[in-house]
Amino acid sequence: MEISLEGVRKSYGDTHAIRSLDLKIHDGSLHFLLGPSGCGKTTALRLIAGLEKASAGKILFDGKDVTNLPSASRGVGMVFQNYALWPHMTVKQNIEYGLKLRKLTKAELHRRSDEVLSFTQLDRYKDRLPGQLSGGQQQRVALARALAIRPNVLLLDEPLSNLDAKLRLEMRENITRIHQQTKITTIYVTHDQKEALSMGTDISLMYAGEMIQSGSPRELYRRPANSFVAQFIGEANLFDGEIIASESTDKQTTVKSPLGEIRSTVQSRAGSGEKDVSIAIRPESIRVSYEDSEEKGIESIPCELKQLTYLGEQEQLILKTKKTGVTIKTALFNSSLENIRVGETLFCHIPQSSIMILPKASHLGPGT
Amino acid sequence: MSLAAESKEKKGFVADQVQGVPPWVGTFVGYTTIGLTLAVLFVFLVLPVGKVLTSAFIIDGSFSLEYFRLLLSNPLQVAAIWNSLAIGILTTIISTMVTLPIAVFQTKYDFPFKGILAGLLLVPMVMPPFVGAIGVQRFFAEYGAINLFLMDLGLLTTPIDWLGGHNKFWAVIILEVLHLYPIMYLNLTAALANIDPSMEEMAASLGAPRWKIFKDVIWPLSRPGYFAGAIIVFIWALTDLGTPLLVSYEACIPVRIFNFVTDANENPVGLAMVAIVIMMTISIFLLSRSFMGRKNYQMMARGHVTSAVKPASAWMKTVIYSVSLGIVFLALLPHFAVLVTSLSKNWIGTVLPESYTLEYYGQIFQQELPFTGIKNSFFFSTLATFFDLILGVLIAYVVVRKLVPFSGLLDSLVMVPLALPGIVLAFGYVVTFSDTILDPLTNPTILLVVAYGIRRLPYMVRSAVAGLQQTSASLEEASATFGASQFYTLRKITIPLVMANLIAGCLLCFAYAMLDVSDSLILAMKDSYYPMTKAIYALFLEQGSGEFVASALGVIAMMILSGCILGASLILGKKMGELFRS
Amino acid sequence: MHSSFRSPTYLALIVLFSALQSCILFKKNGSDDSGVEQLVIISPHRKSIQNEFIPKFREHYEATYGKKIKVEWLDQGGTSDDLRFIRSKFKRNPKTSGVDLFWGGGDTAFNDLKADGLLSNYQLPSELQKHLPKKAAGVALHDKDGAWYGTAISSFGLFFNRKLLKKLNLPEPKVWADLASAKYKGHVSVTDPRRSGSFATMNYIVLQSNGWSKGWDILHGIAGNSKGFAHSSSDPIKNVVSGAARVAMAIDFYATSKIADLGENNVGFVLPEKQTVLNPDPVAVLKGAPNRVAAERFVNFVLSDSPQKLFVLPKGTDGGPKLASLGRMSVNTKVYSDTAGARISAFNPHTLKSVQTVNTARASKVRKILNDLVGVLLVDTHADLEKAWAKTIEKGLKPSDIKVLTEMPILESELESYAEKWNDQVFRNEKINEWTKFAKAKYSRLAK
Repeated sequence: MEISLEGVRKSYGDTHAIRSLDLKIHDGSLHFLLGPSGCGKTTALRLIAGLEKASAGKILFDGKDVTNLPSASRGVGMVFQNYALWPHMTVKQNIEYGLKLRKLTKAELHRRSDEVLSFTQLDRYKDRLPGQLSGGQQQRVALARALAIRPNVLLLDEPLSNLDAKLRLEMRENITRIHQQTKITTIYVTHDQKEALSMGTDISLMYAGEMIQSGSPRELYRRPANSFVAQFIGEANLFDGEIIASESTDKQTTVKSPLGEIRSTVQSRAGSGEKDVSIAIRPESIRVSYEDSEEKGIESIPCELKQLTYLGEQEQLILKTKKTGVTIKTALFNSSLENIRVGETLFCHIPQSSIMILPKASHLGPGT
Repeated sequence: MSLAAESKEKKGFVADQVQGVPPWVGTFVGYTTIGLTLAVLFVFLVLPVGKVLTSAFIIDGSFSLEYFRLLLSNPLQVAAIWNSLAIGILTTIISTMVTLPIAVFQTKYDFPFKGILAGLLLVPMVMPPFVGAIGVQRFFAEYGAINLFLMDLGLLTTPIDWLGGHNKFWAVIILEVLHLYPIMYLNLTAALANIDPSMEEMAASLGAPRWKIFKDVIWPLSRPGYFAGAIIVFIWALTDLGTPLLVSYEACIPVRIFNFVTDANENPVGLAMVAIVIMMTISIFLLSRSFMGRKNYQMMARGHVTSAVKPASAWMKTVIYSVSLGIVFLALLPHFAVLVTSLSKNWIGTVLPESYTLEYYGQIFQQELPFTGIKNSFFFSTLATFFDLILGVLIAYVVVRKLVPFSGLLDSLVMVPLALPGIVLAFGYVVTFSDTILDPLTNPTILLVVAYGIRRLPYMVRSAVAGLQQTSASLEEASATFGASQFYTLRKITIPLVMANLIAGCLLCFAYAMLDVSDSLILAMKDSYYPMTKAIYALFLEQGSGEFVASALGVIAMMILSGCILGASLILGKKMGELFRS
Repeated sequence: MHSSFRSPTYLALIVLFSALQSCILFKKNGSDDSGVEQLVIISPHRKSIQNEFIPKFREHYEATYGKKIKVEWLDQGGTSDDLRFIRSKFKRNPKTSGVDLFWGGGDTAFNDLKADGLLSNYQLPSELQKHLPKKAAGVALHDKDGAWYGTAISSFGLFFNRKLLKKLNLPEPKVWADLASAKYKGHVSVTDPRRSGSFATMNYIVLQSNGWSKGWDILHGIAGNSKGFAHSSSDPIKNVVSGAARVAMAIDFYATSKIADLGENNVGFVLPEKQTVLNPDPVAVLKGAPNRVAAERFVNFVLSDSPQKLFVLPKGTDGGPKLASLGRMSVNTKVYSDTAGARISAFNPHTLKSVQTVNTARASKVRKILNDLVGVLLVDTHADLEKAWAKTIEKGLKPSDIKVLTEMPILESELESYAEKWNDQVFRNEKINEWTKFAKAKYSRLAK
């Protein structure tokens, strides 16, 4: 099922939970609505579920306008953040609830509830009350309950936020597996960018009731639309910069920044004529050595090592530039630098192909 | 895995369609129900009361507030208003102090005979009318049993006037507390039972001391339930007629109104006072609602829950039994006095009767009236309880989920019956429905059921509102996403979740419907429709041994009702334990 | 959605149960109506009177007129409730109330109904009139136009707890004025005259027999001695029995039945010499009575010899009531000769000469004002009065104090002019407020 939101707005009196949202969710995708808390992602989900009425705009399911259709007629399956399991019903009763509302024979009903129970490995617990289950089991019941009705679209509202780290990883795999097996269009709301990057086929990043960028995880990571995206998805070193020269022929841009005058070979995302920009550099694209580098296409900057965190396969370094004293974060994989110490002078080598020039997202609040 | 296989072959699959009713039907049914509810309230509350009260606003055919001026310029009536407010406030405070410990005992500790004790605590709310006054007088009169006993022991030379002079005010309050604490107890216990014990455990694990857990966790979470009980106790004490009459305390609103309205030369200033009480009730209700019920905390769907009830230590048991039984003992003294009266032969000027007899019980069995009365009361009250259950749940649902724009108004309208003197509503029915199909002269069944129901509706609505406020809305939303209509959700999800509150509400509705006086006296005009209370009244008025026979019937009524309450509270106790818990 | 409307079993059961019940209830009402005559009576009389008279009337009716009759007996709980009901019925439909007879409640209520034109006159057959004197000891037993007929006679007196009075070394009261004596402080029980026509009459007797000024002294004393005013005419007697009071103003039949129950050595009743009064208990045909003939037949029946004996004979005796003694006085003179020696009380009001007669015309005219005067000065301000009275006693009952205590806001001569305006509720309430302030002021002066 393809779901589109066209110019959707949701206001509560004077406050706008969603200002104007355009969104397309492709059939069979696992689409993430990502953003910090209060960005309107849960509201968007509830609008799709029909639990809230849009103040303006249209919601389409496969091209059909469902904006004014109540939740009951949309055929969505939803997993609530708190699971919303009915405490007075057993696991089986919880799961069969939605099925009973559909025209099914008794045999069909049982077949399907058994199927879902075994699919989510809940057979053993089917006669227990939700209160007798662990958090992970409760989460699976919520998922099973939503899946049992074979929804048009599966809506997950921060489904893993109440679980511990280990369970969370396990459930991530579970959800991915379910999605791959059923191919049900799934919308997943989370504030955890790692969840989104690792699981999603698409990600829509929201902030303050607005859509910032929508696309594949790769796109969002590699081609962030602005400094907020760059910072929210993955990690990034962000600096203010001023464009002093740009040549459209070879896509080269020269920027004045705290790192000095540096050059980027990536197509700038800033608008033409926009002088004040942000510069984003992913930590893992920076290499570090004791020696200066004259290599073409590399910006080499002398720094002092301030902090070092050893993580096994990875080492995280925090450095301070000698000239301007700004901080650079790097992540080194399989580093050959064995005995580096805090206080030593090192050179950061930044490939010009990894220097992203982005519009400043100053109105987007912190982090830009 | 078949689910996967099926889905793959059904590429772009269409979801199961929800059974064939278009969505507008649900909306339509919803609005119709709300409309019907409002219509019932209008026809059976606003209209009849309005008809009676217009006399307070009309002089010589034109609108006038003269009667209100006359009322408020009479120092006695103004004093009565202040006295009643004081009675209301003090009764609520003392009831809270009495109820809180016993409610905590019942919800937090396990001890032998817990169920029976829970039932016993509720029994005092069953006080049959008319004969209760005899009971209280018999024991607490100047030369009543207690003073005579103390004088016989030589502890007293001149009798204490328990119910006289300045003591009247406090006597009213104490009798109100002993009579009304079960209402608060029921609501508070239901609220405490709804609190996820893990919240407390959490607080305890963070090292919070007990009083702090109470102040920061239990109290805010049980506030809707407490509020439900407290507002009813407060308004009841403010407007209760029976108790002040029992000790002939005149200086309070309900007695003043009663005097005005039953005056052979009826005084319209009394109706002005009724209008003032209604306005007072509504404003007090709205005020306290915004103060007490402003924030409601819905319980999140529960995580892993372990039992919160722990066995009481020997010391704790002593405390529990002595406090609970002490309250029950005090509250049941008047009931005990009724029992003794019903068995007494030749009881005058002695501590206890000189001899006992079952004669009066025998007299009951010779007559038809008591049995008709009991049967009728059961019938009317059962129906009235159902009426309240349906109407109360719907109203509470509309109010809590704010389904209509004026839900706050609806909420306060429902509280009006508490403030209404029974006689005003009953007489309003006579005026409104005479010569219609509902004429009480022909058959008062419907009017009696509705009158019983409307007057007890506040208990049900408050209980249900408290329950709904504690229930997370996401549990209902989840149901909606599965294609359930609002009413299916209400029936399958919401009502089971607030069952403890509903049972508490039903219990109150039923018990107080069984004990209704004003509607019964005025609307049931023929023998064959007499409810139990009017039968008691008829017997009570008989000269000679009338009050003894009436007491005997009163005792039978108390036994029947106590049986119901004990039974229900055993179920309730079980339910509270079972509900949503392992 | 069909499943959401599937009625659960319990609901079905309840509906079934209620349907069944209402069938029974409705059936009772409408089953055997064909060819049966009907009579509708509204009455604040107690059940025992209904139980004794109605079956007997039905038998009598069938035997005399060859037809069955069904009697509907209506009651809303008390005289004022029944009056309010009848008035509201007439307000709806001025032609008829749908009720045939009003029976019981004291002559004042009937005089009011008559004044409002709600009763219809009826002349008794002459053979019945022979034994029904127009007056007994100066009190009218019939309305002069035949609007109502007294069916029984009550008298008023003093009821007391003999046992406790002895214990407390207090004398037994003999006349109304005794109750005002300071020695009975805290021992007296009385009823608010606004709620009981009998007590309104008793207050009137006190005022009439002692004069306006002395009469009010006595009423203030009685009120000061009481602990508050009861709401029903039978309450004071119950208070004496329970120990809340020792002496009470009382209606004879309540008192005599208590004496029969508890014994002469425990309780006693006395008619104040020369100051008691007889009070008829009337029946009247209401305007537009739907069953007028049957209603008039009922009036005849109630006044005739045999039913009248039910009032005076003890229960279980030949011709007497079956279940409970009624203990009232008959209006029928023949009954007294027929039942000589068999009656509960040997007392025959028809032979009395020295009874206080109430000037009924004047009494009913000023009754409403007197009730409000008592109501304001003695009942509503009772708490202040009680304190003032206690202080007065404490200071040795100085005449100057008593004068302050019993001061009146109006003169006797003003009564009649007020009476004309007393139905103007604004005027009435202005006066009530004025008197309230007056009473509070005088009592607080004393209590200081």
